[in-house]
Amino acid sequence: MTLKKLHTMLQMALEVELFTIPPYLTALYSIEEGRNSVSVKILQSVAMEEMLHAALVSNLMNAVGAHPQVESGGKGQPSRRYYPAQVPHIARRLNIGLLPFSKRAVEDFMLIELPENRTKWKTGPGTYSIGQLYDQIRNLLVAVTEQLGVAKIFTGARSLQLSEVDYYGAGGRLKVVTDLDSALEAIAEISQQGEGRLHSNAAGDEAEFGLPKEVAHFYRFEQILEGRFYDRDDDIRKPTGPRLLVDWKAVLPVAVPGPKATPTSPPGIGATLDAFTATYEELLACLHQAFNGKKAKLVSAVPIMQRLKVQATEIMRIGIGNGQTCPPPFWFIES
Amino acid sequence: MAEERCSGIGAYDVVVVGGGVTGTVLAKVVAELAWRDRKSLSILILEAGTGMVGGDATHNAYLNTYYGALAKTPNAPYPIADNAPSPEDLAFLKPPQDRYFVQRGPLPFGSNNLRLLGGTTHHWMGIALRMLPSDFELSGRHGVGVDWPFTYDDLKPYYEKAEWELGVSADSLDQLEINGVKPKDFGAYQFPMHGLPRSYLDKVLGKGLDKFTFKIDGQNYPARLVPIPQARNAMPNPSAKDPRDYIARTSENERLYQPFGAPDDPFTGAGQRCEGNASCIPICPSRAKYSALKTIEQLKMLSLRSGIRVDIVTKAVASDLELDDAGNIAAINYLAYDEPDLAYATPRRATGRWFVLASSAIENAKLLLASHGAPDGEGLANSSGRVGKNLMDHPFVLSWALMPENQPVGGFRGPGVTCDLPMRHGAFRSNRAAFRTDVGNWGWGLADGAPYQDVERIINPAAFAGMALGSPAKDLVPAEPIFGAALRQLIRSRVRRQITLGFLMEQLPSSANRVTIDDKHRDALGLHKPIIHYDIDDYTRKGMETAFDFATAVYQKLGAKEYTDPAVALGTEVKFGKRTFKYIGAGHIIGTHRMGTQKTNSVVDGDQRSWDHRNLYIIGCGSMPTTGTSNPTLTATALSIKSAEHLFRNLGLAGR
Amino acid sequence: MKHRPVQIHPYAVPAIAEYDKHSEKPSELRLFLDVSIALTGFTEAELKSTGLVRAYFDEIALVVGHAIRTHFLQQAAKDPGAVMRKDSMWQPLAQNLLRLWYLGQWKRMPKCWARTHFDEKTQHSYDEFGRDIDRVVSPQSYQEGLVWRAIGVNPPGAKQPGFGSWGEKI
Repeated sequence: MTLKKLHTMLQMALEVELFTIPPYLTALYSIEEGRNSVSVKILQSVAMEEMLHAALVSNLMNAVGAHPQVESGGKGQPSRRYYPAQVPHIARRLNIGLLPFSKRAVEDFMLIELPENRTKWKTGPGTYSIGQLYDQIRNLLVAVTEQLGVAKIFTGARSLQLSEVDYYGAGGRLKVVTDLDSALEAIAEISQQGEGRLHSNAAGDEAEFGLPKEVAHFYRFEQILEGRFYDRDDDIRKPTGPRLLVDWKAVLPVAVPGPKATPTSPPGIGATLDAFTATYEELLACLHQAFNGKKAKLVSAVPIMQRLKVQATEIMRIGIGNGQTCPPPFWFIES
Repeated sequence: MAEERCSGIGAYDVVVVGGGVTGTVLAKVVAELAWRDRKSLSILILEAGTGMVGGDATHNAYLNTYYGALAKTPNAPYPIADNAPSPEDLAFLKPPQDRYFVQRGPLPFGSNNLRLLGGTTHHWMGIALRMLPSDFELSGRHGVGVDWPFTYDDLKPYYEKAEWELGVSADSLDQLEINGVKPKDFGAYQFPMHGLPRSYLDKVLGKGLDKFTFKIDGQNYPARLVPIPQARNAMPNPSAKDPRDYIARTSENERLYQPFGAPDDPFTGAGQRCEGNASCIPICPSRAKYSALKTIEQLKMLSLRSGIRVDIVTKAVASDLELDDAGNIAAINYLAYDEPDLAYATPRRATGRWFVLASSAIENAKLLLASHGAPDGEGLANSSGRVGKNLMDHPFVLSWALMPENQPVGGFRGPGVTCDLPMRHGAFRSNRAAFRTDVGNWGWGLADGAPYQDVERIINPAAFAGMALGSPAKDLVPAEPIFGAALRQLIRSRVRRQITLGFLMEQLPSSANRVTIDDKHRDALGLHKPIIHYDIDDYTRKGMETAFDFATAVYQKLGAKEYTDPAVALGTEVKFGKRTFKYIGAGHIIGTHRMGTQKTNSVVDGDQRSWDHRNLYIIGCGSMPTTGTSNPTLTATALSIKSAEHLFRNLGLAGR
Repeated sequence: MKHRPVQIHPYAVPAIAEYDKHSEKPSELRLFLDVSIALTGFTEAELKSTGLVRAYFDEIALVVGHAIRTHFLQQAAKDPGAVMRKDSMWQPLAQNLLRLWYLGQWKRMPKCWARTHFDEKTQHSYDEFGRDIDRVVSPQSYQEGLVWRAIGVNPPGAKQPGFGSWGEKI
């Protein structure tokens, strides 16, 4: 129960958040232009919120004197790993790949975002789910703060904290972390969106309850699978609201599983894949800098993300054999 | 808020004709004041065109129409109703078969508007620039044109409010650089959002034009790239204070300014920042650019509050105004149609206590002329005889050039214009028109149909064989078609070096430039088509000559090769001495019901209130006595706010 | 008459396998790809990444008919340079192939082109559907125009490049 353990666990949380983003983006970008607009909105909102989570974890890390690692391969840095792979740092078997938008993909996403299930936590060893990971971080944070005092824990410079002014579209939820209360709020913000309960008493006059911002990720995905929105009065079991129409065929035929080796045909694909890799590296470098003091970099991540989207979509249109197309060569980091 | 088809539902407090920026902003300000002062209020807005409030589906439909349009002109994405036709986009191609205007000449009036809910702000560029102090005193200072009935200082507080109302991105410090504007003009005021980043093109040109000056009438004027204020979302300025005292203060709106994005999800959805779509005209896919649909969305939110009622009726074309015995406006008669292209409409009548005409300058004038008023039949509100007269535009002229091989600037990126290279102010204005300069970010798109034309030239040179020997573009036409890697490379190297300077020329008021009506010329619903008489005088033509000379000097300083060629330029030919130019409209329709100090020589007073009918406001760019060199929407919005505050004081509303 | 661009769904393509199959005689789609590569100067991966290979292949036949398309592709595959020469009867069609790829547009063929060069039987299927007019082929074809990639930008109005991107060095 040390500060070092806290730092390690926070880095684990960051890696888990970043791990989820490429599968969501692959599914999102595989949907044909202009189709499945509700599913697109849901996937977009979840991917955006995962990035928000990553930024919140970065704030937590900076607040307690840790250094977020986003780049890979160098000395002391996490390793670069490829999909499909086991979700890092989660004990439960959960193998996730880069799948096109499909029932299988959505089911996988629901497994990633599995809501709290306390009975399994008590009996199983290790960290069973992402929700449990944050629970453990919360407990550890409270414990070390009680043990060593706020001044010894929250040592990070305020200037490292990312906030609303550094980004946009987060709806004012990018909170700065300066003490225990704000740290617990940040953790609550993450768990609420991810694995949290259904908000059965959601405030406001949302005509479109069940769309992004009202329902936790797990339930948003369940709506896609079930083809129905959650209604305000539904309990957690089943959505019974308006129909949510999904055309599972309006999707690019991305190869599953991905190719064993980097495709070498058709001619020119190497350059196309290299361009994507360069952009993704640029994005991670940009995030790394933003998470480690160069806050202005966060906004410059936007054009890089847009370029990544274009390149990923283009790659997923290129046939590599058997009527299938090439998945984008995302990777993730794991320490 | 009901989109009702009401026939004489009971008098509204205010009836507004026109669902564009000036009318909706006026309505919004009056509604905010009513809410702040705990009054009840009912407003009716009549819109001639079709259109929906908010809605992603409609927006996507417009986008797809835009993608599929061969000529991506200003109104290309939008539905044009036969029953409320909008004037042609390419006016210079049409006369006299223009679908709406009857152009009597001698020159075609080049600008148009859009009759759709939200109005012309659907397709505008979004440039939100103030007029200069000298623009209000053209006659006093330079002996040309007329003076406004008030000064820049009088309008300044309304400019500030307008900039917050539209959401303008700029830095006050930058704006001090403009000729003729002093530090005291801004004081502590700050725009709600920081200026948009300059384009890479601006940076290259800015460096190349360091210390550049230009001589006019024996005097040297420095010319510098100045960032241009835009009604387009960017990074909020945390230290800016909201000057809009008509909004009731709660802690809610005391915090950081929230950019208003796409109307269906204004604060957390799309449109929070300009995303560089480079298609501002004709459509902003992200909805970061201001359009009156945003004000309409805000009106919708206001009308949810108790005591505030706002009804918007589309497909309602105002036909004429009705007087009561006391000479005040009693009602507006309008034709309500269902199908935009089926000439069948039901006559209806909207009654109210106060009336506001906000349907754009030519439509306002037309409506007044078509209404039966004084026995001499000259329409309503026209004791001065000035209704329809002093029609003005900013004739827009283009020059273009290629940067040297080693200095590509990369066009087709970002908003159409991020910097101005102005020549707006100086002693020369006694002799010739001033101008503002669009430093175009979109290559030769407007000037020469780039990049389509570039591809055509290279793959189909034979089609350009008939080019005049002296034509500058001749050296761009290869002897043989080029294809393959060479084609790809040539396109890249050429288009990335394209630069354009577009000049918005000031035009002086003249009673010969006017809108009239004639019973012989009617549209599908039997309403009058506007008959336009228009010309460009020597004052402006002389200014054009100066502008082209200025362009040549700029290109020389940059080491760029000029390709300006009136033979192939877009627009209508206009001559000055031995020179020939081509002009198009800038999209600015100004002057037809001008403001003044006397009822004998103006249509409205300094609050845009009719001299002749005390419960009638006639608002918009039509009230402007001079054009200055700035895009007029910001000025019209400032005037709207001024009128709204004035109207509210006269409204005498009951408490809630 | 208002004409609206004919909507072509770019993904209404039969299995991509169609043009990945290796066969003794190159299929006509393969010829189309080879000709397109040679004329546009873009790689096969780049052309396929537009998702419009099949759409453009079909579009040509929809305008000029299958017989003429076959004829053209066979000639162009043998010598791409030859069909671009101004004395070649195929030049207008080769130019339109370039317009499809670079601009997503079709330009009306020269008057009497089919009548001048082909027999009665072949002419019969020419422009059966009234598509031989100046037009943008589809909203997707506009967006995937190679001209934008050639100059290193995104198509105006689509694929938004993001706030501040226009300030970056090119």
